[in-house]
Amino acid sequence: MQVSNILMNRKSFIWLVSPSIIFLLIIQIYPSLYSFYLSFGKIKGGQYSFTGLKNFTRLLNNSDFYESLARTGIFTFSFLLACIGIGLILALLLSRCTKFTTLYMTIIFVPMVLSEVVGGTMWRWMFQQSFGLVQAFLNPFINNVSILSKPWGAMAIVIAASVWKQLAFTALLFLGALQTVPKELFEPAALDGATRSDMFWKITWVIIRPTVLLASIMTTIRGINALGLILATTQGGPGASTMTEAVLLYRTAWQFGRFGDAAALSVVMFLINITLGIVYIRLMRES
Amino acid sequence: MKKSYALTVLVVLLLVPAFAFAGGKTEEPGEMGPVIVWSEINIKAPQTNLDENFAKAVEGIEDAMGTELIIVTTPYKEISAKVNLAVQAGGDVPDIAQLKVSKLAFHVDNGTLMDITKYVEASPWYAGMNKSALDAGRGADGKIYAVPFNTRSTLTYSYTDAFPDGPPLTTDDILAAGPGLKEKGMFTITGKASEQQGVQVWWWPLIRTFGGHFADSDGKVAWANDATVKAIEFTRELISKGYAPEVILSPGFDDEIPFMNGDVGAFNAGSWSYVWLNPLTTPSGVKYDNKSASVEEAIKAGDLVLSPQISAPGSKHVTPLDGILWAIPVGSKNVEGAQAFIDFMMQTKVNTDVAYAWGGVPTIDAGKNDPRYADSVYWSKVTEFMSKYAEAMEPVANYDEATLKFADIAIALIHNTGKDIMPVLKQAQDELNAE
Repeated sequence: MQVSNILMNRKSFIWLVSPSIIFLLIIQIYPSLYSFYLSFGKIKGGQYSFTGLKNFTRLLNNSDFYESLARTGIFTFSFLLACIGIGLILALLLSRCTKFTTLYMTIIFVPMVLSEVVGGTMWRWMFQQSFGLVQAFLNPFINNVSILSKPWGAMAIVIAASVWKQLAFTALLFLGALQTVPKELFEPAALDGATRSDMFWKITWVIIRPTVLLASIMTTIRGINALGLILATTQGGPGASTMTEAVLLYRTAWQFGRFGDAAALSVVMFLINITLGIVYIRLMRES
Repeated sequence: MKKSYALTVLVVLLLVPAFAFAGGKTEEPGEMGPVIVWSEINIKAPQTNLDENFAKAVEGIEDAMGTELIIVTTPYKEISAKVNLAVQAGGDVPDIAQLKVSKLAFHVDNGTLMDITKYVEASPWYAGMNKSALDAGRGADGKIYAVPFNTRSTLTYSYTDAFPDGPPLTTDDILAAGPGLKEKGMFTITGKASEQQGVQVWWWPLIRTFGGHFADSDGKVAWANDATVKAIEFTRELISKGYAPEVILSPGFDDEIPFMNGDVGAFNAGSWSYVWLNPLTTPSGVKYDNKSASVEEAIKAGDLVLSPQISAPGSKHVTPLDGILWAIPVGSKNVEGAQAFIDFMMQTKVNTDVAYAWGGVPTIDAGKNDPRYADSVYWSKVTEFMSKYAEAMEPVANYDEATLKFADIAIALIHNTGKDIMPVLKQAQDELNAE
């Protein structure tokens, strides 16, 4: 009663919500706006100078930008496909599983709670040429080729590592969605002669589709912005074969100290994320 | 009443973090604050031979400086970028930063380091310092921006098992030895060809020995030349024929492992590499396991020989002259403490111990008379090769970006054997120089 009175009082409500609003403004809105401001200038010796659209022009004339954009596309698409596909299969298996469900869930969940640096280092060691466990196992079949030293191999490893880390998220989302599918819908369908495949696509899929779309948005954004695991596994190499837009941004800002150029790239990445987000939300509304 | 209670809670919530962030020790007037150093060294929990040797070398430094020494352990390849970032962004900078000679031009160009000419010239150790080594700490304007505490270069380590008729001296020697060693299940040569260090120790010496340059006199990249094409073609051949392990193209230092295991005949090593090559197992299985003395023991036993870094046939050997510096970044809060740190480090014995720990030659001349240098086969060879063949890499204004970009495109060209090398070099060069 007392709490509801406070909440009913508009002024008190604003006071109570304001810490969260201030916190959000400080840690999210301000840095985003500051990035936008930085993208139109350059910083030297701690001094900002306005340069107009120069950073964007330079970015659009830089081959690294387009090459890393293509790599980001390959990485994100493969990452999305694997996370959604394998996540859904896992969720379906777990939803039918009656024994050891908690154990399975724990096993799937472990990678998600590990830090990206630990996960990346682990994957790097597994494929280390001289003492990597997986590399040693594969050596007889691949003529001792160092997978991590090959551009295709390095990309495959960072995709696999990222999927391994993200899988628990999609599997848990799908498992939750599957539990909302009413069981009583399947019985009449079975009586009408529907196959398992029919029941999945015409009942289960229709009900869980919004969740799949939500998981797709989250996974796509995560894929585009993936950084820690890639840095810990390959550092963007060999050559630039795993240098995605996020790695390029990191390099430009933190290794080359070109904050204006990095901010311009971050604005472009923000626009890509927003555009994809809008597309997904529209699809969700339609579904 | 309830409203005022809510307001009080809110104020407390906002003030707690404010007090937490505002806290901290303040120095009394006249008291020197701690000296904060950004270095790769981990002095409190030594992890490597280098850490252990450095910790021994600087025993008593806090008493000598009269203040606390705080070493912020930072991966060596991140220090330069972080210092630049801290100064440019107006953040907290260290009082001393450990930098490499090859990155000095980048920092001078960005105005990151203090001009310490007057302090250095008035210091007690100035007279005993090797003047050409000191020049490595000068900017193009002649001012001193950093104090080099060792000079380093590269050379080739070869197992006599793999090269019984003498070590390989040229690129042709390497290619000629390739088929025989491959038959024995061995690679011919390894070394670091990736990232910035790969440019310094693998690519640049090859480009120079083939007669080219990495950058022009204005500090702009000038790598689109025939020599660079030959350097990339040579490395491409090594990889495609299986004469070098592909890990030479991977980030990190996995390139050392096949040599430590005796799977490779020769290693394009740094003068500092002996610190890390332990244990060392020759191709015939003899194991040397005595920390950083393993290499010297293998040389004395005749299992390992040293030779200059490989050259192009008929050309002079070229080894990169590099070194490590102590520099005071702009914005240091304790310049006096930073100078006290440098004064301590540049005492003859400390300079010798630290230079040795890092695998370089001391910059205080008297240190070279130390038995570890004067009586060592290893160091006599290193100093001989350095005096005959060492050259400083051309200064590059945007060093970090240029070297990383070059390593990336060189590796991509090695993997893409059908791609024409020159157009790729030209495009990358034009893009970088346009910025």
